[in-house]
Amino acid sequence: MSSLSKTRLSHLKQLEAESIHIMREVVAEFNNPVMLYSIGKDSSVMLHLAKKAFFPAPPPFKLLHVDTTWKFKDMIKFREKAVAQSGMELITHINPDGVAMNISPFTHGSKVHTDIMKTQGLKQALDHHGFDAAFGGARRDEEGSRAKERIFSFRSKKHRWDPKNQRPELWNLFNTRINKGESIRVFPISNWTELDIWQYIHMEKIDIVPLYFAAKRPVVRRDGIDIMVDDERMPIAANETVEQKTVRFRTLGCYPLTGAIESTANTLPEIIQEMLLAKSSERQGRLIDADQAGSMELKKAEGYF
Amino acid sequence: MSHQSQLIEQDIHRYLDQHEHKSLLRLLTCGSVDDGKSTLIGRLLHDSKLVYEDQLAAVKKASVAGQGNQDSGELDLALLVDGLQAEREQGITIDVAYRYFSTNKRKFIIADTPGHEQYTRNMATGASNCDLAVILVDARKGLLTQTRRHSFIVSLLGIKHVVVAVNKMDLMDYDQNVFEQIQQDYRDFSKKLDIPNIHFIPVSALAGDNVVDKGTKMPWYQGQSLLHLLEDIDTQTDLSKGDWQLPVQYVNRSNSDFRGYCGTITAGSIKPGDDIRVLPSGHTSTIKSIVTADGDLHQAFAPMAITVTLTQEIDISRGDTLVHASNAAQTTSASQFKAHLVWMDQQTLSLSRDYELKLGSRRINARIKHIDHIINVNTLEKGFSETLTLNEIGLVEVHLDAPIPAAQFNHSKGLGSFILIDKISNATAAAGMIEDLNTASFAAANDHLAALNLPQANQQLASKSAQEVVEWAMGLRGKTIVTTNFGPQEAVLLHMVSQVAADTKVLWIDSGYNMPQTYAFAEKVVKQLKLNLVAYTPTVSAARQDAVLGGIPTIDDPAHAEFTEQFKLEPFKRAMAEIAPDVWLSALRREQSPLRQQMETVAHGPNETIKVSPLLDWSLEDMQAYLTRHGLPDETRYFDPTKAQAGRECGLHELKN
Repeated sequence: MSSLSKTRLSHLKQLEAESIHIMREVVAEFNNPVMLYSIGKDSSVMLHLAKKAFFPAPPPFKLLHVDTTWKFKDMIKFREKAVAQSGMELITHINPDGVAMNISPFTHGSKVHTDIMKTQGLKQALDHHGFDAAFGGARRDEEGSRAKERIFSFRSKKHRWDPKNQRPELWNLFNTRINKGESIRVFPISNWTELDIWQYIHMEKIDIVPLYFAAKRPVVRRDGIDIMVDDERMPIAANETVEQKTVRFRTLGCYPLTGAIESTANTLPEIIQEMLLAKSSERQGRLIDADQAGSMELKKAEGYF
Repeated sequence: MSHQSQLIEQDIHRYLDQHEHKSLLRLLTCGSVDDGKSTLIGRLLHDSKLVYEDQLAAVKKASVAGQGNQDSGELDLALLVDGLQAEREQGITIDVAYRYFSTNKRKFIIADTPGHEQYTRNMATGASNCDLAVILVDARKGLLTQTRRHSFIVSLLGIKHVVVAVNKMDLMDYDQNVFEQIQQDYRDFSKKLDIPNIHFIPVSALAGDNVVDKGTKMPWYQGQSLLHLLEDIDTQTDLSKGDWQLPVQYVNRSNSDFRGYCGTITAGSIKPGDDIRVLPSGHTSTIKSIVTADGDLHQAFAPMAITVTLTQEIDISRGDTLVHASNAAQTTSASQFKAHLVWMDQQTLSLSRDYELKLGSRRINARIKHIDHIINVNTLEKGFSETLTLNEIGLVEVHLDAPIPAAQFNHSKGLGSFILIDKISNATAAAGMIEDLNTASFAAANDHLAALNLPQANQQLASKSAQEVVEWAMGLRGKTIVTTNFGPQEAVLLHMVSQVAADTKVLWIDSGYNMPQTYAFAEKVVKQLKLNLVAYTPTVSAARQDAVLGGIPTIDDPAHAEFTEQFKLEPFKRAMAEIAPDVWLSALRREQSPLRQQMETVAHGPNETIKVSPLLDWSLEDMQAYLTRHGLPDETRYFDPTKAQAGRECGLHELKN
């Protein structure tokens, strides 16, 4: 426990309390909430907070992972372990249309892949299970369009987000009223920054996917970014070579779309040290944001998390 | 990126330890594009070295493309804090945007709101979670209408610390007189407001003077730079010293043995062993433990999100508030109050519609009864209006369907603030701050229940079970009572009611003439169902009536009517007046008497009550089957000497308004 003094809370403890408050509010006010679980560090923190919010009971909702089939193998392994430890039920959804069309980021590009496997897949899963509230691990410091996102973000029946017509959010009084078929996306860690997340993982000793730590991994350099060869589906061109490099990942997603960084940081303090001294922002390793100007904003309007 | 690079490089462990103990400051920035507000925030981020190279490169690219408000070419720091694409195209910020940065002392959350007249709503939203406001004043223009507006809203939303940043000093040759004049003007104006701590800093966001570093241009300014002031200022109103309050958000029943009450402490602190009171029921208990995943705590304080268990189990649900048994003076239950509303919806306020009010963890029907006045945010003048429109602020009288735990906003932000939700569009229609809980002068009225469409309700309930009717009646959220005479099968309704809310008042008009077996039966039922029994008795005792006034008159005696009045009706009327229920549950059944034959499940009762008779269509067999199924006691040797004949009405069920 790290409080500032006997009756003052440190910033991390204040953020923790705020997130717990949000989660309890959702469980108390919605019929069928779910937690989007993406296996990354933010999801790990969100799951940890959920366990705290409902202790000694397990969190009273299910986890949902929208699997694109292109996640790192280590992520899936970690997912199974984390779910087993949580005592919660996991729903894994893979867009069957995408599978039928054989969607691949290598052949269809990141834009089509993300739209079909993530955005459409997510909508299918939410519709199928009739979830009226979905927790997501997005943070406002991640990207421009997120800075104005609400904590309780209203979505139409078609899952659309309208940045010009958001409900004002005052104090910690959240408007949870929706009509049938509409839903709310809830971001309990909105006010956390990347640094907060890492410090909290350190402080609370939260388990994270080993890919965040440096290790020798096979990578191919493409468009100035190191892409890890995680399985045999990755086509290697004649002029490309697979190199063994000591790398790690700052963010995790689909392996063909996630750039590795050369690093030897293999402890949490070293990772945090490296992040603090880094010269580029977290999402730079993510290829999906760079598609077009304001691209995250467009994706969100279409229903992406 | 980064401040403190040296420490990070040399001793990351020490850095982490330091940073786990940082405090948090939430601040609001008010001003328009012209004041250079975005530039100021961009400067804070840039000069405290919190900008990544890829972000900076994007800004450089945009600056060259002329997307910023600056002349092309120069690095436009405002673009660092820019938001959505649509707004970028318009060159303005149109909403609340949240920015994050930290130094080695503090983490900061900036709520960045625009200064345009039509966006009072956004400012109020941004201000609601802030402890401090930075108000920008353009040194060339001095105090403007918008400065007054910003300051008023900041004050209304309870922010006690304001930093007035007099910007663009570079354009006024860093003239001390300009700064001092603005300082004086602001001090004069702010006397009308409730802002106890005001600081003034002359800055140039563009050139960087007094933002992070002090610079050399204004040696006459002796104070701290903006960033250093923000790092050092103590805004903690010391929440932990107020009266302890825990609005119950969620009841955690992880297994049959565990019942934890979860919520975020809005004020004060608590330890195991402390006596607590539940609002609105008034029941008391003692804190047994404060349960967290990190182990039980010896003490918990605001704003921790905790789970408590109690030594005695009492009925507590979401929407109730736990307070210290000793110091609950400023937190009470109220069904009417005066409040300031900031109207936030395109749809204007209607005095003839119900809104949903959310306060703490409670949601309840509310109606705005009266607009005392509206306040012109530019001049602070009061005026009269029939309604509130978007961005208008007014002092209004709020009436709720039932009392809820509440406090005045200046005593407790947590229990003194609320939102109103439009029940049709679901939009958040208004933000409210309770100004006055003193409701003595308010006329008692309960329009929501009075407006209930009875034929429609009866139609809807026709196909429902008795239990569902009970739940419906208790869901009206008025003050509910159930009456009983402890006659045969009376345990049926009492059991149904106690299943929904164990603390419901059970009213018994005890004439003093009941049979011994009835008294014994009453004891038994009350004990088994843990009823909240309220017995009303006549003002004349049975013994006196018997000894002096000739006992019970026979039915044909003209004195019988007066006797009935004295022994049955008067105590009942007194009870109804004192308890003032909104909903009256009764165990009447049609087959009991010709009068009851014609009754409706939902009807108007005396004292403007809604009278509900869930068992109206039940037969004696139904009643007995229910008693057997639930193992409930019964006593069939019942006789009411005051009525003289079974099936005769005393008149209690014929009382009208």
